[in-house]
Amino acid sequence: MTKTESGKLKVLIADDEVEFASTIVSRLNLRNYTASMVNSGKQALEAIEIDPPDVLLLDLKMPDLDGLEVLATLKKTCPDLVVIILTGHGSLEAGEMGKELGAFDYVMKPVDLGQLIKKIEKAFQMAHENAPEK
Amino acid sequence: MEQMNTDRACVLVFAKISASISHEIKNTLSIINENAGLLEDFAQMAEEDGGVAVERVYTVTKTIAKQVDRANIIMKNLNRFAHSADTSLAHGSLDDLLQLVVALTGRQADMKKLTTTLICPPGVALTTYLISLESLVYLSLLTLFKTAQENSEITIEAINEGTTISMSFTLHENADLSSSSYPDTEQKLLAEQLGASWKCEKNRLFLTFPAVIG
Repeated sequence: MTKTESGKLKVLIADDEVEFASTIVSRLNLRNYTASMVNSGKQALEAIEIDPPDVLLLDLKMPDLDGLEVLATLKKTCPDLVVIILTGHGSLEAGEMGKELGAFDYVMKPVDLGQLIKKIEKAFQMAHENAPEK
Repeated sequence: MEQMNTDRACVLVFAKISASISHEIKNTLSIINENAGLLEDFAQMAEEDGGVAVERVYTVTKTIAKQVDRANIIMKNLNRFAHSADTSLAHGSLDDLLQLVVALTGRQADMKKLTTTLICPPGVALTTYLISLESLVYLSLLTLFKTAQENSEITIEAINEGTTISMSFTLHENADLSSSSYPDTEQKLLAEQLGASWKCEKNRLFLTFPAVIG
């Protein structure tokens, strides 16, 4: 697991709410991340295959493939990818289900950016520590 | 007993609609929240070096206003649906009722990228159990959504036949709705309360019901 050449963490946001995803991208980019977005589950899998991010922020409710289906696919194709679930559900159940499927953690919407950044950093750090030496 | 069962069917639809709408409202709040945060970021940048393009601020305020409009429409529709239950039998317009139900199913349609087209003559007056009719149309549409492939088109066509109204729900694809168990228990209860008859063909559902009850 590596950061981009500029030393910034690469974060991919998969969320069908375009204005939500684009604003998170802007705010993370202002904070020294290299963030980009996709707006469906299929797009997320395609983008990850081409250029895997350090951390994926994954919405649960999306057209075509939903977040849990994306997570299940990634577990097979890209098991080391760090995933943080974004959930608009009122209960914690969906987020906990995501964790059971291998997500590092989840964040409830509306998002507290400070809390999200702490989770991104923690997730990256843990994944980096656990990565086998190459 | 029968009334209790139809009430239960309406509560089920109300729960489905509430779940979908609360999710959508959370999405609009999330967008507003992030854009408020972005404005705060801009204010901080302006304090530090005085340089934020005014267009960036306008873009954010427009986004916030758009989401407030979106949330307002969503809540207005929920409010209209909730008020359908104010009286047992109520007057209404068929066109308005169908437009409301199509709007209430918007999010589910978006999830499969479905397009719903409504063909309904204007000014058709109803005196019926409005919330039961809305619930039945809602559940009928969900039956089609469940069977539909992504990017499909659906047409709802209503025909005023004087004392009765005929309605068809067509899924424009090679579908087989006969395996969809339409009508299910709730749909049947609602249809019976409305004095409606139903038919299910390959890719179409039909409902016929009296325009005036009581």
